[in-house]
Amino acid sequence: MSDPPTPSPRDRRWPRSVYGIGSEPDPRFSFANERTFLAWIRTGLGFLAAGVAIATVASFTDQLRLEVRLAAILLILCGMGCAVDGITRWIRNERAMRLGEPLHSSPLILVLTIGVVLVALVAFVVVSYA
Amino acid sequence: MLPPWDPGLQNERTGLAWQRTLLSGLGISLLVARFVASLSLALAIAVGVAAVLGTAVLGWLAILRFRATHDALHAERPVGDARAPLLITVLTLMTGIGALLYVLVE
Repeated sequence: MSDPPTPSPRDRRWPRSVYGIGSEPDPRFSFANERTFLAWIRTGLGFLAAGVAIATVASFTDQLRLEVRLAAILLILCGMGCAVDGITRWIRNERAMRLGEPLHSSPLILVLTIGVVLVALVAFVVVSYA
Repeated sequence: MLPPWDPGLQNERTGLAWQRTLLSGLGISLLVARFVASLSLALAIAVGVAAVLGTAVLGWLAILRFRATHDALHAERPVGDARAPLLITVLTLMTGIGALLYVLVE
């Protein structure tokens, strides 16, 4: 079923740690993997926008308070985490598909959930004691 | 141009995913530029111009990538490459660093 890992010498695809192993999967699966990566990038950009936005809105009326600043930093770190995890996940899944292994999971979803809950708690405190 | 490779339009859908990702990137970059304007107008203009030009270049690269993949599929050559995903990841991280600096300085 699986061809031996003999990449063509003209195969210039990068990275070789992905394209130099296993056999070619159905291109449709690779496309789906790439779209999932792009969706994570957009999610990360959304987090970045949210972090910048709450810092700006909070500074309209007052000096930026510590808890709001921390919430903004947390959102931005979540966004950067989405980008890093997005490409790491893409690489691991592409490798898994080429080797015929099950796809990997990532702890990022749990981390993001905790991050969003913490930011929501800050928002609740800020709104309640405004 | 050859017809779509498959009835599921995988390459076309992936091309559109690149487009909306680049538009999201342009949106957040212009947002950051607008907010940075309260700190420095020159810096805001620089960020805005870089965002527009960067999106234009990346959009052009995305079109080239779509066409190369389209040709490779019809020629039954293998597809895929991680250089463009790596570039997008690096740009997102750079935007994140800019956002962090903004929040820390604000």
